[in-house]
Amino acid sequence: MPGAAGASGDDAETAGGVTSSDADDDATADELAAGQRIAAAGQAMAGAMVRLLDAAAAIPLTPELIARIDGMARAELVEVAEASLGDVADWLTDDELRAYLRRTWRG
Amino acid sequence: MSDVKVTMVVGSQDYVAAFAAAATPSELAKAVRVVARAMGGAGRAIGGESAEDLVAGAYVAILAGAGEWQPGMEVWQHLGRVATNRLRTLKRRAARQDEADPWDDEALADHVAYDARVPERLDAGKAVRALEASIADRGAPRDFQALAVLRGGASNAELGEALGVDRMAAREVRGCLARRVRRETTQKRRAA
Repeated sequence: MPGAAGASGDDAETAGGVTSSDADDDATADELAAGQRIAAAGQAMAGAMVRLLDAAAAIPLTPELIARIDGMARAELVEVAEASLGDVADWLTDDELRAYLRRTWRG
Repeated sequence: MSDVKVTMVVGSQDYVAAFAAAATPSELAKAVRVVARAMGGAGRAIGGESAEDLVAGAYVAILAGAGEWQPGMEVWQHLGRVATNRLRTLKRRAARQDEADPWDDEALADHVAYDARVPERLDAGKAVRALEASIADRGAPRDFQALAVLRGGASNAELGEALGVDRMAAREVRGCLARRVRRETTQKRRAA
């Protein structure tokens, strides 16, 4: 699981080797501006994602399509997921990509 | 107040909506800070990605199901984990590139379909133009055509159609050109 890789058993408040003390200070104006930009883009992406999930949910996921997704090599998984996720498709593990395509892709 | 934890199906509509609601600008600002510190300071970029780029990518990756976030978890922390995990991947790729010539196709593909917001990719844009001129001088029409198609933001499928090859072959062509663009960029930086 990608998210687990940076966690430390010694410090439950560790994120990728960075402790919670790093996040305690007041955010700078630049950091807040960045947070606002990401939030705005993220809200738009979340809306698009929900619409994609709704559209896919209306079409049955057939055993043939499941088999096709399961049989894809990583390069193909990434390429198909890139259509909706862009470069971020490469961030997901193979299992996460397969689960994502089952939810969102109907061939 | 009950202490019952809500568990959501990762990647579901409710999950996406819950994460978007929890990812407030202040949580995202915290994530940008922790990722910037993991990168060695604000303003730095690795593999063409700034801390803001990495947090924005982590946001999308989490919406898509990466990392198994659940309501009640610290959003900044989860974003930080996913983003710094990606950062490690970028660093590993950069290290591999330093060790030997086989450049990593996936890490470099962006440098052909570059994003004008990021200065490093602007450099890559100049490198693309230099490579285009170089290819034209050497009379390599297929490479020239591929580069021209990619500069238009083509997908691998569109590139494959233009070249008359399948998508996987097109991906190879994109990777090969991207390596050459990266070399141009690196050589210019070293010379500067």
